[in-house]
Amino acid sequence: MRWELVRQAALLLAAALLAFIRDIFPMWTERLLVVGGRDYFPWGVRISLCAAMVLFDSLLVLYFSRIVRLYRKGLSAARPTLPGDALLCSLVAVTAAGYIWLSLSAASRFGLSMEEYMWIGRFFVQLCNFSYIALEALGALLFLLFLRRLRSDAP
Amino acid sequence: MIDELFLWIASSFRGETYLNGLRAGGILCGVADIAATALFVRVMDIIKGRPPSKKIYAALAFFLLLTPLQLLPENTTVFFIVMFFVFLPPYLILIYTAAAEARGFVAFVKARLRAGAEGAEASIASKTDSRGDI
Repeated sequence: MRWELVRQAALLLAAALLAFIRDIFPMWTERLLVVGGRDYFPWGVRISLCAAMVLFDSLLVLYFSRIVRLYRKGLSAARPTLPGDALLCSLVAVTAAGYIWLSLSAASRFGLSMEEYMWIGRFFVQLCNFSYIALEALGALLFLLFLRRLRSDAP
Repeated sequence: MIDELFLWIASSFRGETYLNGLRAGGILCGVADIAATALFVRVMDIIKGRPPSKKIYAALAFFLLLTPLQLLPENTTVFFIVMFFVFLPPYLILIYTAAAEARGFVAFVKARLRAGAEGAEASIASKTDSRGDI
């Protein structure tokens, strides 16, 4: 099961990376995200990959926070996880899709050059970077809470 | 407002602004990663009942001292090279520790939760017995 997931993730990643190599797949990358005569598909894939990395980190922190809560409060604190997971995935997907759509709209209305549009992409990457930092800090805080509980439980 | 943001990004988010953002992000990310790694290693030391992993803590402390080096580069290319060498080793320690210790961590938590649940059941059962005697 684990290797199947790894294989599928590798295939998805390869497909995303190949989107940037126009000579290999010129047919299916063209016309997918063309606005004002410019192809924004590779740019859109980069934005989506950054958002996916933040989502992955968020899910890791979320699952670990559940373990810490169960350890500290016992199994009675267990709650269904699907609504929270679905909400988190939806938030990240909507944010990424919303950013792409709004920025494409602004680029076409104001006639932004491709260079200017790349900076809009880099801004999103920095936002994802700071989100990642916040998640890492939250993860460190959870480890600290778990560590304190371990020490208090120690004989 | 959103249009103004995008216009600002398109025209002004470059040069020194972009580099300062990278520097702040690099340092904060490095510190957060090193803190998370050190705490996770300490958690696993306690769970496994082994002495503190001094070599790992020393390595993490060394890279923590190196994180301010990310303030020095004046262009993004050099910055990413410095960030690569400062950021990557602690992250690899975190990945290795998580991969090597994940199973032991989950087994420990399961065992403790099971023990807690059995203790709670025994407590309920003993209360029920005492009420039955009355």
